[in-house]
Amino acid sequence: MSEATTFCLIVSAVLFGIGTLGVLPRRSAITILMSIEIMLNAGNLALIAVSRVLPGQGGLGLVDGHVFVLFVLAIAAAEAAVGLAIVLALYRLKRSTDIEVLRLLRW
Amino acid sequence: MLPYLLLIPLAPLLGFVLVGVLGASGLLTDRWVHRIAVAASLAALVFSCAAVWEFSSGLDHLVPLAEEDPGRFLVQPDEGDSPARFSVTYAPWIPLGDTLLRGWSSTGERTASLTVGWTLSFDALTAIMLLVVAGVGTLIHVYSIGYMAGDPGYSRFFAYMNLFMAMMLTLVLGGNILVMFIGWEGVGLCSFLLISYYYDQVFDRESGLTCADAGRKAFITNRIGDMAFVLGGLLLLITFGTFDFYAISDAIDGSSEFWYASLLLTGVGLLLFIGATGKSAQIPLYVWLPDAMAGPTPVSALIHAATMVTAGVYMLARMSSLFWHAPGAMLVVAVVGCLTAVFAATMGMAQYDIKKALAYSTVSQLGYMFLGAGVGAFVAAIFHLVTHAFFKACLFLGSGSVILRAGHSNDMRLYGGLKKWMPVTYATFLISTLAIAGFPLMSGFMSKDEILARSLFSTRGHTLLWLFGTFGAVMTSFYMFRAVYMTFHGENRSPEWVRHQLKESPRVMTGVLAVLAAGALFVGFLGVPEGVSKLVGLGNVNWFEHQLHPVVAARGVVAAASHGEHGGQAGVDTHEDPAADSAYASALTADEATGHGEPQALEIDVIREGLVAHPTLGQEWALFGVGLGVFLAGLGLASWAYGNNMRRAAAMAGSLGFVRRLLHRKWFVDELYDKLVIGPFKALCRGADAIDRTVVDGAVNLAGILTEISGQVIKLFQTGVVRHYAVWLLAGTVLVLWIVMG
Amino acid sequence: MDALLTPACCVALAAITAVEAKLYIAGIVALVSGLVVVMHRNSVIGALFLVLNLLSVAVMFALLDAYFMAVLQVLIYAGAIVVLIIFVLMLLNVGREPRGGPGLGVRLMALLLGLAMVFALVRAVRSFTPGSEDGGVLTEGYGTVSQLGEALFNQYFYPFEVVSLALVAAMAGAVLLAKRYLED
Repeated sequence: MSEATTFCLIVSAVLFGIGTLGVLPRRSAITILMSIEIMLNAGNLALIAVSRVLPGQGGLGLVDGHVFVLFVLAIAAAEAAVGLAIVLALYRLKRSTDIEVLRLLRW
Repeated sequence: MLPYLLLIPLAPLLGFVLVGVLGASGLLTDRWVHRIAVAASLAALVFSCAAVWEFSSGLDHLVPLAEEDPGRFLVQPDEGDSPARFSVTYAPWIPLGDTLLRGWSSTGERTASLTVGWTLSFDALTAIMLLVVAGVGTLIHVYSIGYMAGDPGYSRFFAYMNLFMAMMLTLVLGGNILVMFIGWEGVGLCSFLLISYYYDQVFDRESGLTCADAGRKAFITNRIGDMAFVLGGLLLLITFGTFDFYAISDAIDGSSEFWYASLLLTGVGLLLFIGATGKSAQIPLYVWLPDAMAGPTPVSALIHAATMVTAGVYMLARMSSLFWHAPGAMLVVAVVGCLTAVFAATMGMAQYDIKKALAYSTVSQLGYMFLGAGVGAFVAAIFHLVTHAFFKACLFLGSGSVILRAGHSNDMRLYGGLKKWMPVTYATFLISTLAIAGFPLMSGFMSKDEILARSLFSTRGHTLLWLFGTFGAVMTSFYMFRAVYMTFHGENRSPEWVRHQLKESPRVMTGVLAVLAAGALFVGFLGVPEGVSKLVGLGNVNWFEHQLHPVVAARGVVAAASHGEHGGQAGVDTHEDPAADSAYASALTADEATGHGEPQALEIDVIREGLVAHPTLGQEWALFGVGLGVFLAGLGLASWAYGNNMRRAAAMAGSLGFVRRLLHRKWFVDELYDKLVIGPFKALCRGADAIDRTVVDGAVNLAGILTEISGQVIKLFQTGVVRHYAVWLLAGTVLVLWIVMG
Repeated sequence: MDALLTPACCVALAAITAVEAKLYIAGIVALVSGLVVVMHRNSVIGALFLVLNLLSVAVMFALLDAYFMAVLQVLIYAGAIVVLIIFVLMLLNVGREPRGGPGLGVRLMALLLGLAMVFALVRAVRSFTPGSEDGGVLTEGYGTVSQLGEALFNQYFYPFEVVSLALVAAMAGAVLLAKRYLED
């Protein structure tokens, strides 16, 4: 595996960790959504990097990785739309985007 | 028509679907319900007639068909001793692949590829059964138009009747055990549905049995027999590697193996016979049939007299080659049949419910059929089946006509003198009674006395069997004339309100009665026993036997042995054929080859019994005299006891109180079964219930408690804070990653 | 080692190095901007750095021969999604996040988990070996629209339709959620 691919994969891993760090301690729902986008991106990066070194038809490069990324993009768009709509609805309910005030799902 | 045999059961099935679906949704008026149902049944009859006509004109024109597609068609034109056969496989049903057959006999292990197909077959036996089932069935459909008029479940009744026809025709046409079993179970289902037709009414006030209970009783009792039937079929499968009737027959008849009296065939024969005792109401499984009278009378006539209950006899005849080679099983069949004939007749003598009296009569007559099959008189047994279908259907329908007009009461004590109001019913009932009681030259005489004669003269028969059978015949004559006297003679004992509305039944019913009575009169001439024709100086004019004998004749080692040992002796019918000698020789060599040489002499000695001895002319006259005497004895006893407006019977009932009670309560067999079978079974159930409550339910409850406790613990994780969930989610992800991607 | 010194190999090394340099820069920009997104208390600034992050990832896509995906990344992510996020931020007028986040335990837990995740992933990357040798030739037309379209509309036709259904559903859901007040 070439240095470039390794680098990309490691960047992807670290970026994923950064996203994780954003999801866990932050209080703003929108920031959390943005962190999730970063995590999705990290995954996409890994897919693109790996699909380039996999054997395909008549040489290197398997296009399937790109197709997956396309699907991830679509799902990410859907997720952003629904997530932001939920944030909007929450804001109407609680006048806040702070997830600390949301403790409804409790026994 | 023959390649399209499928149409025969399909027509009533279509009727069932139409009447069932459209009738249940209320889209059909009663008029259209019976139009469709009768048309469906009639279509089956027409198709059957067409098939029989084509069959009787020879199968030669179908041979090219079989050559073209041998996997689908089997055509064996009539040649010499072997019967004409036709069978068609419409589709593979259960592809079982290759199977290892464990040879019970000399063959050892071999693999066979077997596929159970949707096979329908046709030979002379099928043809006769088809005509009886479709013919009598159609007549009873017509009769039901009158009998069931105005009933709230009109469409339900006709739908079930059509389904029954479809299933019965499947049973008759089935070319292998599984297809037959579909019909076998199907008619059982219809029997259940139709017995419990008045499911919300009480059937028997004495025991508090409801009609639904009666249906269940029939169904469950039949289950016992069905299980034996299945076991027998499976045993045949693992022995011969096929379910196909013809293949099994040929394997038994034609193989060089020495099957005669083998334990395996005897076991299979007994299992199949137990199956037949369930469906055909023989000892010990007969108890359901009298209670099956809870159903509407046309049902009793069609299912519980003419067709379904004869399925067991048909099945035995179908498997005749097996039984020929299993004399032990045949002996059991004969003894059980004979005992049933006598035993049921005694119970029939003390019933006041007209339908129950007829039901016991049916059990008794079925006993005669099994007696015939058991002594090797398969032709006579099937012939009795046919004649019985006519006169017993006529009797039942006549009783239905009476019941309809007598305020829906079955109690013969409330009848009396009805011949004044119901002349047609009386005449037809009387004709059928004469037939069943064995008035000379009527159908019952031809068939029943033939069975009795065979039971005496067949070398598989015995004098005792004949004696018991004759004794039963006296009782048959007695209880039938008793019913006639109680119902139609003497003074009317009906309640006032019933007497005012007494009149003849509608023409649609009496017309059917007349047709059936004509059948009871004349069907007997199809199978005039050789003995009877000899008496009047004719040759053998037994058309029935001529048609049917090849199908059920003894073959293979049995026939060969009879020829070899006794060919040419006077007074012995050998049914010889040219192939017999060689078959016999090959049987002997095969026998020696397999090391059975030592007991050979003994076994050949036993084989000789496969033949039928012919009585001399004097013996024939004696038999004729006995038959007439039996008839007159029953008639005399009945008219002595019941002729004088039942006064003497009432007096006798006082002096013979215990016997009367014993017979009326059916020898307390129901009570005995209650104590011996149902009691222990209930105790077992209670035990199982206790185990179920403590152990099984305990385990379930324990699982529930554990779930609850773990739930109580796990709910602590549900804090309502999204972040905590995310932490656990990520922790799980890391763990999985670590394990999987390492 | 001898093989590495041949002229052809030297040329190849030089070419790879040029691309790699650009990759390194883009990767570092992506990491830093990502860190800012996660750390900054002001969501609007975070959103702007998210654009930077996404753009640098798009550059990496392009350097990895995934030209069409790079274009899509810019159009959809940087264009549509971030615009949506900023739109909502403006709509709700969200300011700085209030001080005083979760307790130390959760923070520590988050850090630990994040590190563990990175370690697990790096470990997975280490163990990854592609099927073929490096230095092979890329497929003719790799990463172009035509190749992608061919795969998408032949092999992945049904998943593609399903995704479009999911998008429709998400759109309807988003409209429903955003339109109505959550009563009761």
